[in-house]
Amino acid sequence: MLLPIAVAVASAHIALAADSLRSVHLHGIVRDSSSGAPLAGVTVVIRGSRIVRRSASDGRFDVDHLAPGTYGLGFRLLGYRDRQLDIALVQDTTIEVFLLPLGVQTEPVVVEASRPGGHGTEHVEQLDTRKLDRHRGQTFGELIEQVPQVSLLQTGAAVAKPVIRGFHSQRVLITSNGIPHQAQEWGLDHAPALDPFLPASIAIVTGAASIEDSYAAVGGIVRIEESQLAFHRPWEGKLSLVGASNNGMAAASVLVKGSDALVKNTAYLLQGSAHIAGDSRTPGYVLSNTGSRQLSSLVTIGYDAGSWQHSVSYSFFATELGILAAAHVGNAADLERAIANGSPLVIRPWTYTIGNPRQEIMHQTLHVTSTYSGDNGTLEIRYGWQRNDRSEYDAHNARYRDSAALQQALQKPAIALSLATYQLEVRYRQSSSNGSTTFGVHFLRQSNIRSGNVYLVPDYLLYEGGLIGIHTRTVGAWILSAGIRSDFQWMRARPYDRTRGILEPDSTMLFAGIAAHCGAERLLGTHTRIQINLASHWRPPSAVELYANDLHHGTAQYEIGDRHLGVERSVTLDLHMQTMLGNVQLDLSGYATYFPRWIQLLPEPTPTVTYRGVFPTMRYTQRRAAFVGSEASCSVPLTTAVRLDAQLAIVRGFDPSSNEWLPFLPADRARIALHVHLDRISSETDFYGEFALGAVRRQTAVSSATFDYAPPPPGYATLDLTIGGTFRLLGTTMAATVSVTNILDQPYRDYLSRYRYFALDPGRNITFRLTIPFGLYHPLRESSQ
Amino acid sequence: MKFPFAIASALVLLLAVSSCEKHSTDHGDEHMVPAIFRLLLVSQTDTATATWSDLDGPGGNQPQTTTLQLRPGTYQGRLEIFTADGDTLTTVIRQQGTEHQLFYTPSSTLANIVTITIADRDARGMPLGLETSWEIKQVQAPISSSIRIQLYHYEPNTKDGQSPSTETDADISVPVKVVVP
Repeated sequence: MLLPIAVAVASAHIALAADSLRSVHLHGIVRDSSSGAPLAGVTVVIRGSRIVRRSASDGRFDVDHLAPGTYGLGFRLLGYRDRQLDIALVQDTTIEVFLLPLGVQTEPVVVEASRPGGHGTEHVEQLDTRKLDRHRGQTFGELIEQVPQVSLLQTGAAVAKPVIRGFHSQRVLITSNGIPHQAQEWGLDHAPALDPFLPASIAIVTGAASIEDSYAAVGGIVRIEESQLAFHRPWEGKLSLVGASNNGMAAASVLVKGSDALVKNTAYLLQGSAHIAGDSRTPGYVLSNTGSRQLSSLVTIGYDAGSWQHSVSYSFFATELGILAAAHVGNAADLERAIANGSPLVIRPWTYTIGNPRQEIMHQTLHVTSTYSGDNGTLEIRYGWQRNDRSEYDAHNARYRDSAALQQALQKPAIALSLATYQLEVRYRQSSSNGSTTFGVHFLRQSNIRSGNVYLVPDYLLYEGGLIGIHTRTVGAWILSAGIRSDFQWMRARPYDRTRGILEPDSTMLFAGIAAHCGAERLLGTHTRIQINLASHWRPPSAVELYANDLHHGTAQYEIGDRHLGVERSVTLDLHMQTMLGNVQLDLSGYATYFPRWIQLLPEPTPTVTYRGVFPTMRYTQRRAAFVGSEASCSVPLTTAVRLDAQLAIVRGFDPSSNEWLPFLPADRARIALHVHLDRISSETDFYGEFALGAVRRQTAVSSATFDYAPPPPGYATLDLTIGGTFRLLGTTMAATVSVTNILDQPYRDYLSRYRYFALDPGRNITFRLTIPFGLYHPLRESSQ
Repeated sequence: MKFPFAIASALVLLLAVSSCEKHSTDHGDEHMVPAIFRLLLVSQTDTATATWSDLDGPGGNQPQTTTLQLRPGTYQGRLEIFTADGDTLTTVIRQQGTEHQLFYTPSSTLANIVTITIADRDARGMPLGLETSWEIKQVQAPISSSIRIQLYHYEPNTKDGQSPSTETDADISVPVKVVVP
């Protein structure tokens, strides 16, 4: 999705004033007025001085050591109109400034604070609550697919694994309130265990990102901010309802938050959501056994102790999902037969019932956070415990002594994995008048316990530790940033000896490395911003890459790890430019990443012969790899109410030694959308509509050396329509959208869809979404000066 | 409350939660993986056997096979399947006969020489394939090739006695040599 073009005036307000007399400091946060999401990269100038600041990714900016007096402040961000504000500074002051994008009618502002983080020069795509609300429902992946850098590796409607610039799994990091999400994402059919209703805002950092969050996330970082605690405020809530036609999905989510319920200076937040979905439908047939269920909940309690703030939160996310009946094949010959047939070999009547094969996933988190805000620095201590339990239930392909034993066995998972992670992240940030410095400590303990018959991930115990230092500084019109971190990872695994049929003695690995980042950003004139970033990441081979040794039924391949694999290091150069040509906004990115020893599954010459037939043997191997790519988007206002958005994303990966393309990268994608926005219908009513054409090319950058059961499917184009708006009903301002995806019920298969061998992608889908805020808190009423 | 709450809680939780980690359970349930296929053929004058075995399961060592040596004539065949521990799976397949069928496919070089027909029936009267009848024609010179044996699993009431299912339970190749009498 493009950044909202055009520029509009903010309704600004001054919220809080703090104490202290001698030195005068100005602190502030800039937000999108329609969503309350923090705005990064806002240029803040003090007129008549040479002081220029840029808001960080959490929308915050600081100007320290000012003489008391009256100052004229200017706020500027592409996509928003400049805002001028006069402020009398007689003491330390914190202001909250709201910028309103053009064409967006004022809606009740959901004020969401955000954790500090991120450093000036990286390329960040921000998705606020309003943008997220339009895509909530089935999976977390769908929420972020609106960003051009993101595509999805889908296993039916219920599993959507984010792919950022062609990278996924361990090469992409998802953090939730500052704590890395630790689910079992080593498999292509394993999506993050996250409730799509939970994020209040999401920042997607791509390219040569800061190494603050991770030393390994070469693809990018998805930073999720959950709805924040509202201290010292009346209670408020939100009810979200979603219904979808294609798979009969019904979803509901309720959020309630408030403060001082039983104890003064406390705040609470409760969230719960549930969904049920049946089989998806393609044009022509039902995708049998693709239903899903989901139940999730979050409870957060916070205590405001003045300069310290503490919070504890517990969440669980439970899901059960069916695996396409036709995708359950016994061997490679079955798969070839299924491909030759063209449509699924098993089609049953549509149902909500989920049968075997199926997966059950339970993800629990416990986060404890303490933050200290001092005069010239903040200290954050985040502790997280997470446990991810995954059970995969087989269909009927196992042999048992008798039917009773078979029925009993089907109730037990064929694979069960339990991943427990403890993490501690400590950050100390010090801000001065022209820059900021962050020091950090990272610690992680992770254990994996497996049971069942499959030896793809061994039992392991893993420790990680690291030290982080980052400095950002304003030098004239430049923002310069540099960071370095040093980490180690120690792992003890218990691999399985296939030939002797026993567990081997423990195998211990120790990896250590340094990741570094530097970047520069500057404004050229008043309408152009450029960002240049260079980063070096490293990643230790995962337990799967080191020790896997089994038939992977999901891919119909025999996969073998290699315990002699070394570290996967990379260097990334990333350029990003945002500019206005007249009233056309242009956004261009280009990047290149080089891996001297990229880890990849490569086919072996000898296939694996089993009682189930012959399977290709794939071994984790290291080779040279280079990725280059580009994203471009533009936004053209046609009238005040109508604009045209276009975006394009291309990525190529190849081995520079052999000049072979790397497999399974997203195909070239483009999207054109006509966006109509009718604001000022009344003070709290607006309407928008978007008609979009999305096109995906056939993936032609494939190597003949790549092992794949079927060639990449042809390109396709789909038409989507969304209409929505806000309206006043029952004393509140509700937001509703109706969207129709794949209007023409176009049959297609996506190259990254893991069911493409068996079936078409789902067809037309009509989704209805309604959000109803309630409660006593009305930010707009409070914010009027 | 100066002492960071997070650290205190973290220490408590670290101790509390790590102590209740369970340990890996073994995979020794009643799951029976076929590991040995034994083919026994008897004619009026001759007996032929062949064995396909993969005692360490998929991966690891490659399966071991012995060659089925056949002379022209008519044989009655029987297939037996065992786990690596020697437990029989043959009776399970016979019990669940309406959900299984075996297919025997001679390689193309043997297509006109070896004809295999199924001799047994499941509870619904459909072919099963544990018992077979083999017709071997005369050859001018010995031919070495193979026969593919596939065991298909059927959803209830989908077996028609002719078509393979969408899901293979077993798929092996047994070396065969047809000799001049």
